[in-house]
Amino acid sequence: MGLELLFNGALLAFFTYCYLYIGAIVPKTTAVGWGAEVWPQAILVALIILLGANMYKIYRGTPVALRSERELRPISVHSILTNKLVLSMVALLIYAICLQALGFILSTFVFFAVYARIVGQRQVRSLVLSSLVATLSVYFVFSRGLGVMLPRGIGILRDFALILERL
Amino acid sequence: MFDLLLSGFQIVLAPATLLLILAGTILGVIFGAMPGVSASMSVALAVPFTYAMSPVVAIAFLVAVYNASITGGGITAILFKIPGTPSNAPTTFDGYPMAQQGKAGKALGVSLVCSAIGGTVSALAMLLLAPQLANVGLRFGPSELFAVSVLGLSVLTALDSDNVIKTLISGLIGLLLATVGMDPLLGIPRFTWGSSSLLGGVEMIPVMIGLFAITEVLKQTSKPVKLVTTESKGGANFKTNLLTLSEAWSIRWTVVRASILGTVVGILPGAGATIAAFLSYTTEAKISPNRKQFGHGAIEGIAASETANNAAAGGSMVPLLALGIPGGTAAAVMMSALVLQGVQLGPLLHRTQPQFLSSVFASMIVTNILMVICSMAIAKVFNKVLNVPYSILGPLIVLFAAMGSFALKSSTGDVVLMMIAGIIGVALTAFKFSSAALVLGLVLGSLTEANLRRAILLEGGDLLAVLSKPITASLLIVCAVILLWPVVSGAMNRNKKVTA
Repeated sequence: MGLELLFNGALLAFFTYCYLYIGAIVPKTTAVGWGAEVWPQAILVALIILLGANMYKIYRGTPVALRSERELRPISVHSILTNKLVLSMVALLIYAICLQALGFILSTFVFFAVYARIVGQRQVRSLVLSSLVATLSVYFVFSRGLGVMLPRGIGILRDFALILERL
Repeated sequence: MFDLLLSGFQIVLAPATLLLILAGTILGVIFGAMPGVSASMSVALAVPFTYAMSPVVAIAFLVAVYNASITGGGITAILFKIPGTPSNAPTTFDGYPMAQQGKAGKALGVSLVCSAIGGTVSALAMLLLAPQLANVGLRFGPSELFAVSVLGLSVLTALDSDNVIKTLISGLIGLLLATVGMDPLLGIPRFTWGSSSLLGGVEMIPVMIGLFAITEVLKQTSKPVKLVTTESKGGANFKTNLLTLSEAWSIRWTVVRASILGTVVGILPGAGATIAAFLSYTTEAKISPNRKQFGHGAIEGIAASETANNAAAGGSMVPLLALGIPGGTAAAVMMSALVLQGVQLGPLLHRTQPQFLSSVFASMIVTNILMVICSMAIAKVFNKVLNVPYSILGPLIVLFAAMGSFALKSSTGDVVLMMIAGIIGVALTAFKFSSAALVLGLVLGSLTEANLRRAILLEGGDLLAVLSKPITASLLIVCAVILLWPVVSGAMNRNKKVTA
């Protein structure tokens, strides 16, 4: 219950801030028609009411004996670092952020190997080979087949990508 | 009429044209199956091939690509939970659970047959009713289109009747996300916090791919579930199982309703295949006798979505050919290709060059037949991929999803957006919110707001005048009934239990 209430509470706080933000930043409604702030504010009001109702429902739906139970126990750093889901999320975000700077080929090769390792692939040879094949296959399908300009990266990585494109 | 039909088939059954339609069908199915390559993008990619064709053959070829791409999107929606095009998103709700239960072949069979039926029905509607339907479509102004969008939103409560509040919250979050960026009427930036990359708004496709595909990969990573790919072990003898007669009979009304709904929504300007698919799916989730099975692998769910999106594809050709007004983005791309060839689309086309209408009709019929055969072969290839170990398949899906998002605008920002959507999707699933409702809100958000505000502006700021127009008022009453029905029926059931 605690974690769910916390999630809903965080959403409620964020949407309340959004309501105040849009009201402050957007010029007021024109004489004829609706201004740019009316529609988002209407949605936000509905969201705030429904989130309040949902929090009340969660609280009422939890048996009295369980309401005081502490769900948020201290979490060890080790458990976070070894959690597959957390590691996968971090890998996805780092890949997305580095794609532009490192270029498609290097970032994808590294990401593929790391992600396959997280999921359970143990053999290094298989990791390297599958990463290489996947990277080059996707590169040729999108870059050559569909004419999509994939990120080349910066510096030496850009030069390398250009050499590959000339092949 | 018969002469017109005959001339259409004479054009498309000429060996060279037939070969081109076959090529367009294969190209369309492959493009459609690639995440991020939308139907309109598929048509745009195919346009350069038409430069050397005659205008009539060019439109037949482009129609083949368009129809086939929407069908192709269903393959990855069922096998990997990645909707190839946005209009295939509702197919994932029942198609993917069926694939997990080892019924991928059956799910694909339902999807292909229903796509073909939807496409054929809309082709017939186009031939018989094109001018009349186009005129009806033109009567839909901003206020009526607003009511149609609300009708689409009103089925939110049907997506998860056990969690009505959470589903509504999810839908509203989708609507709010659709307001990010420039305001559609005045161009005022909203929720951009000074960032220029947010001015263009939240892209629908990366969010959709993130919420469906990335969330699923993350779930599989933490709690792997072995994907049972086919009815046969290992998928070596994978076969797309077409519908049996009894199955076809059991979903007949779903297919009829979805065909009509899809054709009508396709004709409306600005609506399109995505809205048609969602509208049809959620309508069936409300009224189908098998509605309890929806979301767990109901063939009616796949039939509703795939019939409607293909019917809408045909429907969008009606205003294009009858009035010269494109019903959607893909139709606009086709129009530009024909204008390049010097063809003047519009009401006079029907009188001066009737072979256009007949060749489009004939090519749609031929494409729908070829599509089933081609898709069965292509699905077999895609299914082989499912036999790859998940340690390779998982990152491969992420890779295709990332490139699909990147290809939209060549922006790594969209890849970041997709990944964030995937991570948020995990949280939404954990707390039993509805990703499908969020996507529905995002899809319909801009259309709903823009039409409502336009209608208010046209009525001089009088909201009541907007809502009291006959078509608008009727549609809004239907919306209210649909929206409130789960609440009322829930209360009635509780009362019955108390009385008992």
